[in-house]
Amino acid sequence: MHLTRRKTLQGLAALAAPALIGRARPASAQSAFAGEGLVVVSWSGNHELSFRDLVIDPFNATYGTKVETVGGWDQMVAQIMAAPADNPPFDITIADEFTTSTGLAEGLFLETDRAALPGFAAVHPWFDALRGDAARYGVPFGGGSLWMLTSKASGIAPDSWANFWDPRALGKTTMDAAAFYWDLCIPALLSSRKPGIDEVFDTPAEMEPLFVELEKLRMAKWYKDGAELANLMLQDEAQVATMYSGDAYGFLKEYGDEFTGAVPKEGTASYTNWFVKVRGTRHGDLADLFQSYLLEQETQQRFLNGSTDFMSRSDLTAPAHWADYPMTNDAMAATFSLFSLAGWDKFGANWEALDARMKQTITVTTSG
Amino acid sequence: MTGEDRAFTVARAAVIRRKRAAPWLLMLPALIIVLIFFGLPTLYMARMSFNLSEGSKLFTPGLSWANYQTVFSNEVFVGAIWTTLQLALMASAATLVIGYLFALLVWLKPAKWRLIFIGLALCPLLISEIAIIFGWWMFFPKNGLLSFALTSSGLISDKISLMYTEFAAFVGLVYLTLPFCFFILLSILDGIDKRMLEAAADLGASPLTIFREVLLPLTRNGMLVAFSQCFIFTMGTYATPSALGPDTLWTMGFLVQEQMLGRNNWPLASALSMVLVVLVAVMMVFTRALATRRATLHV
Repeated sequence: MHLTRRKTLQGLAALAAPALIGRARPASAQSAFAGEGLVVVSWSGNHELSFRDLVIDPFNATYGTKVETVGGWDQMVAQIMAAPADNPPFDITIADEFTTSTGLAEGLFLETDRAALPGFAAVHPWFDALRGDAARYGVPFGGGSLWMLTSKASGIAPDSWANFWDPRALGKTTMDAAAFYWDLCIPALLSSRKPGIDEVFDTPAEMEPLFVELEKLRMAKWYKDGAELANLMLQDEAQVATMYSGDAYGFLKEYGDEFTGAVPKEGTASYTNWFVKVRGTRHGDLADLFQSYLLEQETQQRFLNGSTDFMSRSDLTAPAHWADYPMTNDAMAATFSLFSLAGWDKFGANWEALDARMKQTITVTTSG
Repeated sequence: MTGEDRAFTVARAAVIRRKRAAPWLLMLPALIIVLIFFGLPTLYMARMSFNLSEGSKLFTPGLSWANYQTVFSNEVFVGAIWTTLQLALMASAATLVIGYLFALLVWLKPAKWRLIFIGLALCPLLISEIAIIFGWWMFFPKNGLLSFALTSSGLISDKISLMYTEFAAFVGLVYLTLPFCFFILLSILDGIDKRMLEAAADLGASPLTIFREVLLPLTRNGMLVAFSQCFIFTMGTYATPSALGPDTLWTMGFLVQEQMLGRNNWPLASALSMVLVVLVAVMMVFTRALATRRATLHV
């Protein structure tokens, strides 16, 4: 392995992370937190399994800690709000833009001292670009996106979102009924009226063409969670689907003989996974160390090798299962259209109207 | 009145007071638990339903009927209220009929069969709702057990799928609530002296007459309690109808979950929940009004 001066410095900085955050001198870094516990929330499902295997367990093995991960999806903010302010149910939570927006509005998250975390130097600027003030909270581990999943038997490749409208897919498609904003991103990505998914942040009237496009589909069933999606595909009820990257790796690993998945050529809609310290945590120093660990190159490469999420560091190598992984900041920006915090502000303001319109779309497109 | 008489009167009054207080004292621990764990959250929810939802915050303190206006003016919510009521009434009625027949069978069978049937009835209670849903996912689809059984037995030629139909949601709900209904009715039947049936038969009553004139009046209140129990359960549950029913089966439970977690709109979720609570309370009052005083003795 060729060691550059930059890599050497980054390695030394990672080793000295506990000292940098104030708990221990480098010599005792690995034992400073021995036996201490920390509860970290990751996304439920395959993401949680990967996160436990590829991040939590190696961290505990290195530092002798008792860090554990619990799965969450949309209930973390409610759980923190319901718990006493000085005794939150978890110390660090994963937060996409939706969770971040509510968490910050309620004052549930703690700021991060970026200067104490050397890993930030290697993070793609794309992660901060649309973050605004919220960038002061947490560390960007990576992000998730929509993948296109197809059954090999269908003869349809997951190389373009337009394939959802392939006549062969009629009555054999499935999308998310619950997080319907992601579904709207698909026709937005195919449309040339605005870049990326920006059409999703328009007024309901301006978004009407997106609903009209979705209404040209005939869904086998609109799924409500990952388990239902997997069941639909495995039972051959559906053959073309959107799948969250957090689930895609595990599904393709297990059923790769029958299914194939990819980020289509038009790029995809995405969210970012920031790990944020929860206010009232009693393990602040260990939380700092864990956040620092999340930004280490080795941690990120290990996770990337076992997932279909993208990572925040710019110095990783593409994994075998994702040959066209975007390596540069420009490629990252071109591939992933972020459902940004500002986007949520606009979309959230029209939620009721859009939700009602989406339910109409579901009614006219469903076969299930 | 002598001093002795006065002392006797005072002592007697004390005894009466104690007797009157005894039921309340006996109920007190349960009452405290109910008030703390059910009463306070319901009050909190009622208060939350009048708050406002603004921006990204979960709620903004306020005092407004806006959320109730939304519930009763939004077509999706109004539709969900009717759908939930219909589904709950049909599932509860079906559960009552099946549960009654099952409980009757167990009651009339010799004791050696009883344990086997009770074990069977316990099965759904030993498995989580999610695991049961996965079971139905293996049963109802085109490539599921039901389709396989029907095609391989020659009853049908083409595979069929009952998955994602209102019928599947209905069956799922009946299966979930059947054990509760069964055990309530069995406990009622166990309180009836079987010799009453024999006496009625000896007096020339047909089985149908015995059922109508003897068994039905004696179990009427139990049936109402069992129906109420099923109704409460089916009104509130959302996982089963959501996972087995069609895409357009939006129940109140599902919309509460959607507003609470998917939208982070606690006030609207609370308003919808309060409507659910009121509907259940109305049904409880209604079934209570139908109960006979005599039959109350058997519950």
